[in-house]
Amino acid sequence: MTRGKFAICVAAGQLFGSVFAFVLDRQLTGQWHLYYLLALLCSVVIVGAVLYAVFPYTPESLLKLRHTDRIRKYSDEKFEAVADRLTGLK
Amino acid sequence: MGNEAALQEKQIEMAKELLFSGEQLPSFAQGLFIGQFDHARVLPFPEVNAEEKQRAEEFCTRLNAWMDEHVNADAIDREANIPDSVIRGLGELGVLGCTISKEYGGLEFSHYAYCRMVEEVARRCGSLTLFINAHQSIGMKALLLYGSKDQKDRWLPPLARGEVLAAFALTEPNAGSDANGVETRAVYDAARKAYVINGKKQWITNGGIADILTVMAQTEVDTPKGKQDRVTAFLVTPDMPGFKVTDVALEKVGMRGTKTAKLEFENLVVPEENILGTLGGGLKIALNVLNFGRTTFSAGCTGNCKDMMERAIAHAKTRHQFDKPLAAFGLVKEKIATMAALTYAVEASTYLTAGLLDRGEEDFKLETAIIKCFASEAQWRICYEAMQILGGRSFFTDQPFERYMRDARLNTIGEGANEVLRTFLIAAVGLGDIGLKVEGMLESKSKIGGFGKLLGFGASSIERMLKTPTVPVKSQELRGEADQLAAATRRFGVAVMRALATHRKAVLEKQMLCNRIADCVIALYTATAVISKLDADLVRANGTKDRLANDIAVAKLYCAMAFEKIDQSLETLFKNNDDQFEAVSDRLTGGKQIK
Repeated sequence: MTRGKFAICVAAGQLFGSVFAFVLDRQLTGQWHLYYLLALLCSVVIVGAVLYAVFPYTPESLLKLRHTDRIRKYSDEKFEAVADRLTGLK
Repeated sequence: MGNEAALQEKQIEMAKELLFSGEQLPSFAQGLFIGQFDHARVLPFPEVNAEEKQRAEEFCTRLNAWMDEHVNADAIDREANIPDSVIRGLGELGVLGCTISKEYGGLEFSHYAYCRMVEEVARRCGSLTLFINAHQSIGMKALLLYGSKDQKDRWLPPLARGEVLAAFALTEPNAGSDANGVETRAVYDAARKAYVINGKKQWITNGGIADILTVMAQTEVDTPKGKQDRVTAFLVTPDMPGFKVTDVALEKVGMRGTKTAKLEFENLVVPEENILGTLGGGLKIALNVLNFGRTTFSAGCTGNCKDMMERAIAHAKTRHQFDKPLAAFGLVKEKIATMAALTYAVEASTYLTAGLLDRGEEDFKLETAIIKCFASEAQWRICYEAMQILGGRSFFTDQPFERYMRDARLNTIGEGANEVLRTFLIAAVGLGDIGLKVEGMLESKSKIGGFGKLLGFGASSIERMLKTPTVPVKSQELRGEADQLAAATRRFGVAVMRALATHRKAVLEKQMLCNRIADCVIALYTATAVISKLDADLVRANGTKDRLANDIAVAKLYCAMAFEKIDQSLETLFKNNDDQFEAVSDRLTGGKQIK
């Protein structure tokens, strides 16, 4: 999944939530609030754009990072293994 | 504040001078600052052809045989002298003219071959390495790069034969790392069609024994802003009236075999045809010469690191304590593995950079500064670890380690102190390159305005910054490290943009922050070199199965160390104790009043 698709999914989720809140508001107050609707739509666009631009990882890259986490592991075993190879200890 | 502003302006001017004019792609290391991994430049590992490699190896075999017979590194250090017979021998072998083109009688070595030769010399003797580098890598480099045909015709043939020695005279009592601050002045005398030079130079390797010197002096130059002082490079010979050697060989800690001189020029008359390059173009010449010098500097570190590591391993295998060889103890293992990982990275980075130079890359100032800092610091660390393994034995002069230690001490200071290179060159040029493109952003009064201009920096740059680049290695063995390197590059690019947006122009004054940025880019570049070298070796099955297995383990360990360093540096980029350090230091030095 690309970062763009990920942002669209999140933004779509928020849009669904926004519409739901808007309809609920209509049910509770008996009125359609145009400004409230516009504000919600704007926030959807902004959240989507910010997520796309700023969020550093896609779900895929997060998985990849988890996979490669073991490479980052600064383990004693790595040092021992290298030294044993070079000294022929094992 | 006025002085600060002027100083900053000067730094930016120097950064502009450092950045080559004209349209061109940023260098590989510069690309890292915007989260770009220009893999076409570093993958596959740039190498010279097989013929050149073979020529270099054959030359090194001859050189080693000659050194076995004629070079006594301990005696050179003890007597603080490289015998004339050794200098003559180096000349006859072609060592002293190996970078000069065949047209002038030299061997026309590639950067790779020159580095291989330096590596072999450095395995034995630091003084001899410095002597050769001072003569060839910086002493005659300006003549090779910027000399006119007449100047080359006159000087290169005797230099190629090793009959004359060259030196590079930049450092002065009040100017060292700040190359633009030289106070030696050259005034034009129209009647004599010559420049009259007055001033002092110090710590000039080979300065008192050289037959030709590249001397940097301030000259008055017509500029669009009126008459201004600009540095100019002159070819000077000791027979010119007014040339004085005030100290031919200063006593020093290490590299004792080399002659480090103090010079004085009193109305030294230099014909105008002895100008190297253009009038006022000396700063670029000086910086460019030093850029080349730093590559060969690292080659020297490579040779010495290998020798120290091999000696330490041999000792750890044979020395027994508590009924076990030293090599069986965990802390000794850690030291051996660290030495091996650093040595591999120093070698890979040196030859990656040499390969880039051989391929004709025009802009390599960042890469050469990176490897100089990395190699000299790795060498110092390896020396420490090796001495710890050898224990008391390393403290006595029958072992070469005390000499190695004294020699290595120069390398983090010479050819630009590492602190200066990290902040004024690596961070300043890397950030400055982006900064010059978004100068408005740096000069912005507000963070929001600055960030707005940053966003206007260019859609392509932003996308590069936000997109995780690809590191297309061929070997599956290195796939994980390559992915990790790509992710680290992007994270670094984002952090750089954040630093610029947060601090704007003042970012260059945040030296501790700049140092962490330099740490990151050093780790990225060296990890790149390690991955690229090993990838090439694995693809070509270059080496025995056992050696390749060792290399894989060592390279993977270095990558883990480099990624750990990047993590640490990025984590502390914005949340750190820098203010506390500054406050304590200012209290003790009266720092704020000193300005």
